[in-house]
Amino acid sequence: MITLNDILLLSPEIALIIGAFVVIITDLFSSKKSFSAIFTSVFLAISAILSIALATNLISYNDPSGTSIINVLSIDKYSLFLKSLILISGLSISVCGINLLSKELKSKGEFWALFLISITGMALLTSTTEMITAWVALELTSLPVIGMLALNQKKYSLEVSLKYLVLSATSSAIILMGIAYIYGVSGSTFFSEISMIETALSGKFFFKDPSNILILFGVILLVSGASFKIASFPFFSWVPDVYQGAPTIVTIYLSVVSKIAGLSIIIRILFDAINSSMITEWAVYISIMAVVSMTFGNIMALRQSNIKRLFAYSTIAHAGYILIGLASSEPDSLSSSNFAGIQSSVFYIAAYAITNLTAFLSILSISREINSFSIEKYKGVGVKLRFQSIILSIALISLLGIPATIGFMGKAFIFSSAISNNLMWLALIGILNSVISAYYYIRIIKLMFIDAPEDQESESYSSDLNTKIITSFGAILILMLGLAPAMLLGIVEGVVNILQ
Amino acid sequence: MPSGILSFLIFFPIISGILIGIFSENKYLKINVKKISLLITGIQMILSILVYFSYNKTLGGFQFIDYFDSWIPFEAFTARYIVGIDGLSAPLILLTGILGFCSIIASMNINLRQKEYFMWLLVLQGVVTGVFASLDLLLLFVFWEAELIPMYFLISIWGSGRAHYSAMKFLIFTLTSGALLLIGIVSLYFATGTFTMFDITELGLHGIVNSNFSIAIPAVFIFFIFFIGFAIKLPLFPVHSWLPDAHTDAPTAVSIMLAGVLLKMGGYGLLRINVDIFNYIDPSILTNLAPYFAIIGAFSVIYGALLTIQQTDLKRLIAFSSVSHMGYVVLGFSSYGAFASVGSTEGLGGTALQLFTHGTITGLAFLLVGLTYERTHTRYIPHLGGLVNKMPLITTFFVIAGFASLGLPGLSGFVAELMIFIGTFKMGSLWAISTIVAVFGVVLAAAYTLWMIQRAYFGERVKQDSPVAKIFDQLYDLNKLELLSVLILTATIVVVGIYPAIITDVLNIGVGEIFTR
Repeated sequence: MITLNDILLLSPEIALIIGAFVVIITDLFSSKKSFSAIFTSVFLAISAILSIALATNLISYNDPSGTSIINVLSIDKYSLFLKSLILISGLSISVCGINLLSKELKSKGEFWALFLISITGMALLTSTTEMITAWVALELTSLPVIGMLALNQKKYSLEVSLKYLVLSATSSAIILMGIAYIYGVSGSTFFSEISMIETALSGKFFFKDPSNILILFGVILLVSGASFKIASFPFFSWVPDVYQGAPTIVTIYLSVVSKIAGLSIIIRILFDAINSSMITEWAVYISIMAVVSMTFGNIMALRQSNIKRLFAYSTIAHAGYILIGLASSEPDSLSSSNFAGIQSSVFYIAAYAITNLTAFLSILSISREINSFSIEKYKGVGVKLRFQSIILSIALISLLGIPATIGFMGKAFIFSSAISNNLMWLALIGILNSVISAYYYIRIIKLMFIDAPEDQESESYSSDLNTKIITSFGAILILMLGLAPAMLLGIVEGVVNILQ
Repeated sequence: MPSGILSFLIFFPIISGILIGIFSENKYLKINVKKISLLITGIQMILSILVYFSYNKTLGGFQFIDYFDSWIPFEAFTARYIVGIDGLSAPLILLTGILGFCSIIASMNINLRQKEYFMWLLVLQGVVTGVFASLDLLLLFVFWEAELIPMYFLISIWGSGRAHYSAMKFLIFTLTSGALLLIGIVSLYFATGTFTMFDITELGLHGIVNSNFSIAIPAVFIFFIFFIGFAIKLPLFPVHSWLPDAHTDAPTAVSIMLAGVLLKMGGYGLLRINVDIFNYIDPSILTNLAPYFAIIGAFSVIYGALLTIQQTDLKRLIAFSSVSHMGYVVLGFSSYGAFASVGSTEGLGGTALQLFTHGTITGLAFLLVGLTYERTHTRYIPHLGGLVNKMPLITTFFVIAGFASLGLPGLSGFVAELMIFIGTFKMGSLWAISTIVAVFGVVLAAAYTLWMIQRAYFGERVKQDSPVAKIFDQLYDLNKLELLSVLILTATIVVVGIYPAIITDVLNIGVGEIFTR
C-alpha cells in the first residue's frame, strides 16, 4: 500500500510531473517568450529542494538503509544523492536556458514540458530496485529527448532525432533481452530476489555452471544497453552526431544529466541486483568498456574542429574513466581498508557533473556571442569575453585533471582504486589517456588567451548574466572541492555504504 | 623562525600573484606591478636566506614542520598537508628564493600583458617552493603538476620563436612525467599505507608492507616508474628533447627558473624518493642497478656535451649544457650502490650540491644571455663578436659563469663535480670506467664554454653583414638593478666555491640521515 509517507518520499518526482502539466497549459495562454523556461526552473527548484530536504532528513522520516515503496522503488541515501545531483544540474540548465534558448527553438512550451518529463524519468531511475520499473524509467528518460531533438529549427534536426530514436530503441531492446535472461535464471525481476541467487561455482569453475553464464550474459546485455545513456562503448556511435546537431541545451542535458542517471542504474544493477561473488567476471567486461571508451574518445577528440563535437568525444572518454572505478571493485576490496572503486566512481560522477556543466554552459554562452561553434573562432575570445573564458579555462583544466581542481581529485581516486585492486594496467592506460587529452583541452585555452583575435573590431560582447552566476558557482566548487575534497568524499562514502 | 614560515613562503607569492592578476584591470587602483613583484620576491629571498641559516644543524631532521591532518582524512585514503625541510631540501629552498628574485629583475623590460606575466611568475615561484617543502607525497604531486599551468602560459605568450610548439611539448612531457609519478605515489601508498615521507622511512619497512595494504606490485616496478618520471624532468637522455626547445623559446626569466629550479625538481625527486624512500623499502634495487645508472649518467654527460659544441644559438647552447650537467646528477646518484661498504657520502652529497650550484651557475648564464639578447636582438653566435668593448661587465661575469660551469677550482661547480667523481670512482669497476668517461665531459665543457665566449664576446668586432653591426655603437652595459642580480648570483658561486661548507654542512646532514634514520 502506498502511504502518505511514500507520497512525501516521491514528492520530487510528483513536483516535476505537475510542473510539466503547468508548463504546457500556461504556454497556451502566455505570449511571453521566456515564460515556460521560468516555470520549468521554478518547478525544478522546488523538486531539488524537496530532494535535498529528503536526503538530509528534514521533512520525512527516512530509514538510513532506505525506504522501499511497494518493492519497486527504494528511497535511500544513494538515490537521493544522485537525484539531487540530477535535479540541480537540470535546474542550472533550465536557468541558463531562460535567455539563451530563444533563437534555436521552434516551440517553447512543449520543449520544457518534455524536458521535465525526461528528468522525472531520470529521478525515478535512481531509485528503481526492479527490472521492469528500471526499463520503464529508462524509456521515460529517452522518449522525450527524441521530441526535444526534433523541435530544433535546424534542417538536420530530424535526422539527429531519428538517429537517436533508432539507437535508443536498439539499446532498449538489448536491455529487455538482458532482463529476460536474468529473469529466466532467477525467476524474479526484483533486485533483492535476484541477488539471492548465489553463484554455485566460482573461480576457474565459474563457467561450468550454465546458470552463471546466463546471468553473466544478462548482466553484460543490461550494461551494454545502459551504455547508451552514459555514452560509452559499445553504444557511443550516436554521440558525436547528436551532440553536434542538437540544440546546445539538449547537448548539455545529454552529456551531464543523462550520464548521471545512466550510471546510477548501472551501479544499482551491478552492486544491488547481482550477487557480489560475480564481480570478478563482470569487471573484465567493464574494463574493456572503459579502455575502448577512453582511448577512442581521446584519440578522436584530437582532430575535431567543432567544439560540441570535441566535447562529445571528451564525454565518451570521461565515461571510460568512471568505468575504471566500477571495474576496480573486487569483492575483497569492499571489506578491507582499500580504497573502494565504486566510491571513486560516484565521486567522479559528481566531479564530472560540476565540471562539464560549467564548461558546457560557458561554451553555450560564448558561442552565442561569437555566433559559432567552430574551435578556430575561439581565437582571442579571452580578450572579448574575459570572465566567461577564465571560467571555461578552469573547467577545462579540471577536465584535464591538473591539481587544485576537483577533476584531479576525481582522477586520483579513480586511478588509486584501480591500483589498489591490482589493475595497474588499467590505471596506466587511463593515465596515459589523460595525458593525451591535454592536447585538445589546452588547445582551446591557447586559442582563447594566447592567439590574437582574427577580427580586430572593438565590438564589445556581454555574456548572459544567469550563465555567469551559475558558472561562477561551478568554478568556485571546482576549485574549492579540488583543494579540500574531504567534504564531498564524506558524503559519497555514506552514500555508497547503502549499496554494500 | 615562526613555524608557519614554509607555508608563508609557498602561499605568499601565489596569493599575491593571484591578487595582482585579479586587480589588473582596476581603474581606481594603479599599481606598479614590477615594483610590487620585486618587493614580494625580495621579501621571499630574504626569508629563504633566513630560513636556510636558521636550520639547526646539530638537531638535524625535518624542521619548520607545519601541518594539518584533515586534508583528505579517510582511513582508506589519508593525505595530509605537511611541509618541512631537512638538509636535502633546505639549499633548494634557498636557491628558489634567490633565483625567484633574479628572475623578476630579468623581467623588467616585459611590457606585453605585464600583470598576467608577473602573476604567473609569482605563482610559479610559490608552487616550486611547495614541491621542495612538501613532506606528503600527494601534496608534492599537487605542486609538481600545478607548476605546469604557469609555465605553459609563460612560455607560450611571452616566448619567442616556436613558442606554442615548445610550450605544448613541455606540457606533454611534464604531464607524462607527472602521470608516472602519480602511479608511483599511489602504488607506494597502497604498499605502505601512508603518503607521508618520513612515515615510510621511519617505519623501516624493508620490503615488508603494512598487512592491510598489501598489493602485488613489485618494488622494482614502482622504482622504475619513479625513475622515469624524474628522468623526464631532469632531463636525462633519451627523454631530454623537450628541454632545448622550451629553454630556447622561453623568455629569459622563465629560462632562469626552468634551468635553475625546475630541473632540480627531478634531481631532488631522485634523491628524496628513489634513494631516501627506497632505501627503506628495498635497498637492493638501487645497489643492483647502480652501475647501469652510472653508465646512463656518463653517457648523458658526453652526449649532452657533444651536442652543446655544435650549437650556434647562445641560449640553446646553455640549454644543452644543462643536459650534460644533469648527467653528473645521475652519475652521483648511482654512487649509492655500495655506500654501506665504502662508507662515504661524497657521491650523494656531490649530487645534491650539483643541484644547487648548477642552479646558480646556469641561472647566471641564462640571465647574461638574456641581457645580451635584449641589447643585440640576436643570439646567433656568428652574428656576434667583440661585445667586450661595449659590455665589459656582462662579458666579465659571463666568463665567471663559464669558468664555474667548466669546473674551475675556487668556483662552486668544481666542488660539486669533484665530490661526485670521488664518490663514484672509488666504487670501482663499472663506476670507475663511467667516471673516467664523465671526466672528459669537463674537457668538453671547457671547449664549448670557452669557444662560445671567445666567439661571441671577444674576438673580432661583428662583421658588416651582421644585423648587430648597425646597432653596435648603441650597445650598453648593465644597469644598477641588473648588476645587483648578477652580483647576487656571482657572490653565491664564489662563496660556495671558496667555502663549500656553507652548503655542504647542511647537505651532508640530509644525506647522512638517509642512512641513519
